[in-house]
Amino acid sequence: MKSKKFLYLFMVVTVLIVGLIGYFGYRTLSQESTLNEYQTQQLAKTRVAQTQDFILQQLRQKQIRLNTILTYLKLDPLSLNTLIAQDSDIEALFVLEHNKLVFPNAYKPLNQKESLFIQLIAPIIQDPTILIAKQHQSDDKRPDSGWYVMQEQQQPVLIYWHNINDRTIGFKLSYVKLLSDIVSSIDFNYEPDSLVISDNGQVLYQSLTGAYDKAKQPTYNQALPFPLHAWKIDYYASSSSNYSLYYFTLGLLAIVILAVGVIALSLYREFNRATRLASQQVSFVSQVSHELKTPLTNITLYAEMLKEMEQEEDSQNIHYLEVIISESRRLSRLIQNVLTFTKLPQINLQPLDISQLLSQIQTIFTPVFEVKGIHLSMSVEEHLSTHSDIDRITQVISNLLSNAEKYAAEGKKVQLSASQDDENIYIRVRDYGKGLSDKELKHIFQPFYRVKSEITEGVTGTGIGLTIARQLAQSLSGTLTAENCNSGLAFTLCIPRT
Amino acid sequence: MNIKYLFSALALLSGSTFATLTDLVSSPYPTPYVIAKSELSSPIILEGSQEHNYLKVSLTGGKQDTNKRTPINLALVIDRSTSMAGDRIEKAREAAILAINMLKDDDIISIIAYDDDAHVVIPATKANNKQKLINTINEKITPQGWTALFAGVSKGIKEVNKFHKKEQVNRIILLSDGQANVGPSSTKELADLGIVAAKQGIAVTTIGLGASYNEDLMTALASYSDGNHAFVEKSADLEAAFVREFKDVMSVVAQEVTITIHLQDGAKPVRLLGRDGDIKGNDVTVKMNQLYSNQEKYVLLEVIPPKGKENEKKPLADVTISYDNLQTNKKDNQENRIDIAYSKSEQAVKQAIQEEIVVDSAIQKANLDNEKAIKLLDEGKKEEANKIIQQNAITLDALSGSVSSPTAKGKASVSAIENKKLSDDLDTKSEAVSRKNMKESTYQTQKQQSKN
Repeated sequence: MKSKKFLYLFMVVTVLIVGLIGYFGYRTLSQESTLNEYQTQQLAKTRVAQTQDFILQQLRQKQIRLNTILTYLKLDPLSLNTLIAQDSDIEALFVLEHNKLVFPNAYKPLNQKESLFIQLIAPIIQDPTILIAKQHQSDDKRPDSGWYVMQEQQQPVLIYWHNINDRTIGFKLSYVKLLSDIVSSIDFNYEPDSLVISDNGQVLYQSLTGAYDKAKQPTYNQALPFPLHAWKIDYYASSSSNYSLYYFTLGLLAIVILAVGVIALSLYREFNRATRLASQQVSFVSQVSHELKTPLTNITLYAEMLKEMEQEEDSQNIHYLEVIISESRRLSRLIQNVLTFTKLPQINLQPLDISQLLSQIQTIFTPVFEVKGIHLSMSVEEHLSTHSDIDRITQVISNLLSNAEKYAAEGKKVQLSASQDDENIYIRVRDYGKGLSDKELKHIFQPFYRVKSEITEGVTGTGIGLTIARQLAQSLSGTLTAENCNSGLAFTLCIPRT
Repeated sequence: MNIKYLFSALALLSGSTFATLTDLVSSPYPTPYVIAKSELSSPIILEGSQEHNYLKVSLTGGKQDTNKRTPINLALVIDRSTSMAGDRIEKAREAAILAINMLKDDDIISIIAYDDDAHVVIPATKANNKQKLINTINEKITPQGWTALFAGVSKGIKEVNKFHKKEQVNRIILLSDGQANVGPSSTKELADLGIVAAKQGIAVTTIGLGASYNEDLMTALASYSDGNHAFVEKSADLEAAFVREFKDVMSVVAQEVTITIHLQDGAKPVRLLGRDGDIKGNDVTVKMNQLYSNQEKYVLLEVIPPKGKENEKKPLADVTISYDNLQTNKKDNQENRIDIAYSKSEQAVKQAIQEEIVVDSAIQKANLDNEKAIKLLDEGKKEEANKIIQQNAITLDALSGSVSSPTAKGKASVSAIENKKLSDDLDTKSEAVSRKNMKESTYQTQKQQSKN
């Protein structure tokens, strides 16, 4: 019973400790991971910005290149056609003069490519101002060059235009050349993180590592500014660094929890061993006591028989025999006490008349008290009755009276009284001895505790009488309390009325 | 990078116009390095007739001085996606090693391997430490990941550009066995990439391995730069394809070939048979990236001649051919003029017919039909497709019977046999394989790529 209770206690304490460690571990982990996430996010941002700069740089280079070409370019059809035929950046170009198309010249024979190009740029030819409108919202200064974006068969068309005097020259940039230049020059190593550049969802470039998970949301993504506004850079941070942190912390937690578990277990086992040892000792004492009982009974029996014989002969030895008998009986009681302490018998509840019981006890104890010159008075309320174990109550009262006889004989007076209220019956044993200090009073119910003073001097005892008395009271759902009075002590046994 | 582009742009703006003008005047070499012929299939036609005629401009590279081979600047772009695992990657490695061993110490090689992304395995370098290059190949060309074909070719262009010179053979050889599935991967985008390469004077050869690559994309990529295309069904044949390719690469005698045909008034261009070109009014321009030694490349233009009277002779077209001569590292120009004559006599007309040109045009027309057959095949009309090919075989076979010139006869019968084989393949082999066969055949015919 007791060991099981302790097991529960142990488990509760262990779980509590483990829970605490787990909680703090979790808190640390979540803080660390928030920090980590923030750092990852920052890194992703920086790298996306780097990639974006690189792409825009490529576009800017093309712009610079086209500007340079423009400064040298002769605007005659032969030069322009040669340029288109040989420059891999330029897919086509147009020249508007006073907002009229002069190249390719629609009034001369055109090849298929030129016809298609004129169809494509028809909106620009109709209204060249759309070139500017698309790019600049602010009207403070009219730009004389810029990018214009159109769509042709699901491929974007990038047109770089430049105004020189009355002419507008527009280059149709080879989109594939731009892609090719970017894809072949991009050289960022973001391992183990992954990067994807896409245009309207179509992947243009990707640098993937094993940690890339398509289903996952990108850690950070960003759309490029005009004219590549359909482009998007997705950055996928590998979660491996996070995982390693998780695993590390989890591992550490597991180790700590395991250690706590092991310590708790070993403590529990150690405690169990001690309890077992104690119970073995108790059991040993109980067996020995039991073995002592039989020879003692015989000794008492034969001593009594001898006493009867000696009484007839009126011998002088009778005094000695009485001492033997008295001491035997005392020893017998002591042994009974030990046995009761180690092994509580079954409770036997029955209707009980308290006043009758107390009268009987008074009758038994009166001769012994009279020998020591103590007056045992009794005051009991009428009709005190309950359901209880008569033997246990008898033993409690006997123990208390016996203590009073032993330790408070000099008070010359002991009161036995009983009263009741709505719920309980109170049986009180009050002596007029020296009493005890409050500090000592706290300990008197502990097993094997004996007050060290002149009171106990020369009086034999096991130090378990009160412990047993209290246990008995508790077994009857009652209580046994002690208090200091003006002079002497008062013990109160309280048992329920029903 | 900017500066380099800028210089080349400036050079071309200022130089090219002058170059064409000056070189027109005098060709300094007595025997032309490139043998050019411009002829009509029917130089004499019936008076008053306007029947379609075929103008053929044929260019054959002269014999190469074997001691002085043009230096090569080559980028090998190798697919190392997971689909290449096993025999294929092994053969690809062997082919790459073969390529390195065929190069001279002064040649430049770069190797790019692509999977999820493209990686420059060997940056453009002189092929003088072959063993080191071979070790790198064996170490790095191992299968992994997807197929970033666009990035692979882009990096190939970048590597070739590092040592780009006009007077060397600048070439990318792309080897792939799968669909491009990372980055831009439409046929149009790859065709545009082919244009980008061609404009920079880089030819792209594509070699498709196995039955699952995209042949439309691979031919489109090669087409604009006149690169070769080959379908290698079994990886064991890869080495042979590489040898063939190298034979071409090492026999380049002229580059940047431009053929301009100016038709006189009264004549009208109808269409180009075979290669693509630019028709603008009466001016037709066709570009070829390179000419190989002892290999004929031609342009076939279908024209409507002007009407004429008996015994009349009219100028029909002026043909200008310009190219970079790799032997002299100069720009050569040749001019030809084509006349057309009229007669009343059908006999005279018939006698004048150039059988070889008739056969060539028949082959090119059959080729156009075969392209239609591929479309039918895509629509699931296998029977109709096969009927077209069979019909081509029969027509060409009949043609070979009717012509008397041995060259013309040979050409027609070879083509007839080839069509017959395509038709047989369509019956016996899987659709993926026979489509690739057809695509390869039409491409090679269109570009007059050497087939053996």
